[in-house]
Amino acid sequence: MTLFIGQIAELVKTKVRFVVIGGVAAGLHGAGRATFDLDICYDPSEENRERLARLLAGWGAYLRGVEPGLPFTMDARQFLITPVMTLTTSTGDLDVMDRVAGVGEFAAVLAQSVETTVGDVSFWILDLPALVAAKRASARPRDLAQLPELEALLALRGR
Amino acid sequence: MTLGQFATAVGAPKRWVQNAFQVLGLPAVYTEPLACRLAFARAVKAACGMPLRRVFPIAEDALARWPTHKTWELQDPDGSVRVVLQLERFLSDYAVRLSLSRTFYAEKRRGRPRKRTPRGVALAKWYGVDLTLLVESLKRTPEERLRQLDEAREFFAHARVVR
Repeated sequence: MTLFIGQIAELVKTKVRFVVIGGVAAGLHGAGRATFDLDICYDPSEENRERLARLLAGWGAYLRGVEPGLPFTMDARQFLITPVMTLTTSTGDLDVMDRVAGVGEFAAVLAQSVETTVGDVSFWILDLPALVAAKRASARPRDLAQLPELEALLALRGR
Repeated sequence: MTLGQFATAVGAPKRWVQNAFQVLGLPAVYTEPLACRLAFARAVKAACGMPLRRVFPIAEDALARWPTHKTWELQDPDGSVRVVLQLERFLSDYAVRLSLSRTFYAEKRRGRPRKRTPRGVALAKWYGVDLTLLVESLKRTPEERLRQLDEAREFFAHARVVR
């Protein structure tokens, strides 16, 4: 398993256009909750899908939660048909999606993101108000459970 | 499987699934093999307009052809039209949706939100969130925060292996 920064650095190096969302973005904003997978929203343009698919194929990406051996083709076409995927890879678990509930498609996600630099790696993360909006829109119990912490962070940062 | 998980695996809205069950006269029992059959019927119906009632009964035989056959074909009686379905592609798409239904899908909280739920810091206090931890976290750099997430991920990965 690779560290989150290793996964992110590899995505950046491969020139994949993406925004970090979910638990890792929340953690980078200061949330204390542990997370086990990296969630990204990717640009669904054809060349970006190609780059992402090549990288994920190289990481031996397979579907999380299903039996091994089911037919699964990791290529750009798969992102077109099923744009949301929960994957397990040699570098750790990764969730990929082309839009974020409560925020919108990639362009809207990018517009509501902030650039962060860790070491010598620069990448985009969803900003805190948009993260709160996304958690609220998804309305899943596990997302709603994170809302109090994110709202408190928002309020504390605003002071 | 719940109706929501079933619909995710089929790749259809819940309402479509309920209507399909009605049309096919199926009891509301949601299983993964049935989801695969219904997804197959939906794919063929979407591609060539074949009614669900006609395509659903042949879905099981068609799916049983995998992996010895890579495709499934259906020809009309006079031989002028032939439908070819790439089984590997179909099953790959279905496997992605099945994965989502098992790992990503969760029922949404129902009902109206409470009117008097506090917001911001008050909400966090109401839930019992330790604000001192958040204040400390805000003093760290993004690099330190990401390192902390990595340490937690590594710790729990090892904990899972031991268990």
